[in-house]
Amino acid sequence: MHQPPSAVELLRTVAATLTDDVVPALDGPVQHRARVAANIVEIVAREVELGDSVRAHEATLLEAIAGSADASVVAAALRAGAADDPAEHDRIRQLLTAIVRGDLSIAKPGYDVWDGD
Amino acid sequence: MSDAASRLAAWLTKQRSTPIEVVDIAPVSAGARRFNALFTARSSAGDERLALTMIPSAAIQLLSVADEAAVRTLAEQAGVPVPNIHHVCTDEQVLGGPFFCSTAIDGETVPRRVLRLVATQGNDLGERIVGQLGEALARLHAVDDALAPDALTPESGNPPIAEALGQVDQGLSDALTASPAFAFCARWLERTAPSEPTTTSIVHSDVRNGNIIVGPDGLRAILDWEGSRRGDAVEDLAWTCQRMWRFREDHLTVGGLGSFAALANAYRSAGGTVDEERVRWWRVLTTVRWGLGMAGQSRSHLDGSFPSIVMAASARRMAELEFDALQLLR
Repeated sequence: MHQPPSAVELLRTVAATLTDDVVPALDGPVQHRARVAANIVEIVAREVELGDSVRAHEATLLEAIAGSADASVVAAALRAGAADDPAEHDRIRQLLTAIVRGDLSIAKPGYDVWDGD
Repeated sequence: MSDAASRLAAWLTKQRSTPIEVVDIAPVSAGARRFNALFTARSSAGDERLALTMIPSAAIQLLSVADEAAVRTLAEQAGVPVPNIHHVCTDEQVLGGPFFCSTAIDGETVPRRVLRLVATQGNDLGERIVGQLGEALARLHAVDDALAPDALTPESGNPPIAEALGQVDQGLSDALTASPAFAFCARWLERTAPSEPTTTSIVHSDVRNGNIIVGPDGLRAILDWEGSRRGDAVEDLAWTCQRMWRFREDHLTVGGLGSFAALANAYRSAGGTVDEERVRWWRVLTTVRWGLGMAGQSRSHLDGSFPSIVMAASARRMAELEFDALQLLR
């Protein structure tokens, strides 16, 4: 058993070092890549922290869409027309939005505040 | 670079049959696909500021530099603001890739700086730029596309709507994990697909905040024509509205600069037709296609064809486009 810091705490420290120390010391394309690297580390930290609960919630939502927790089964059902009916369109669109909000909570928190013009 | 500068100078000297010196050369952006630099061509006639656009390898070009130059000339003749191209070089030996030289135009191109300029000017500059974009697009779309190079026709030979649906279908098949959100959108796109356009147009395909030069006076130029092709004119209107090009100014539909009404009104005044249902369909289509493209970028990293941390990170951005597409289908 490791002593703290935890994996998430270490990743956050790496991200902070990249953002605060490394990025300002660089310029041009390398600076851009360092910025992307910092962002990736932050994403991975959130994935370690939230991934299990997001995936579990996703499975419940997928079940509610088309009776399967397998994303490829649900995708195939939707492609075949499972949401063609207007009421189903709305119900399923909301469930899919909830799934995507879970992914965004890891990949880009705060992005899900927009209601489509 | 000084080596490249001397080779460029020698080439320009031959083209112009007069001694040319290349000075003050500075890279302005290093996109994944193209290298851009500004330089001064010095001769006995005086100094001239030019922009160099080089494609690192002809293998990754979308349109050849010669075809891109031909499209830009057509656009320029139709009154679209485009930097005039002075020289085209298809010989890869000169600089290591095909390139062209065009008039250097002052102004802002970096999206956040464009938005800062608009915010500091405050006099409806954003709406003015959007109107100018609408007018420019109407002029581009009015060009007889039979005059454009054959290379602008998609390889499949499919008409625009079928071509776009085919790309979505291909993107879904190629994705390494299923996307129920995009499967939902793809079904909607298929069952609500509009009729094929009665005439095709030259479509720029990437007009957005980021591919324009603006100054306090408004729009100065539309850049980056390498994605031009024959297509449905509506696609260009829809693409300008992508949320990704608003850079957090979400309430301003067109590039965080202005309203869709400003774009549509100017487009109509300049002779174009705007069918809002078609625009909506193309907005969903281009959002889904771009999201699937993000997944494709990460596959290029994984399979070794384009290893890059930027490409690796792209797939984690797909959720943004899934969210945007679902919001458009409310």
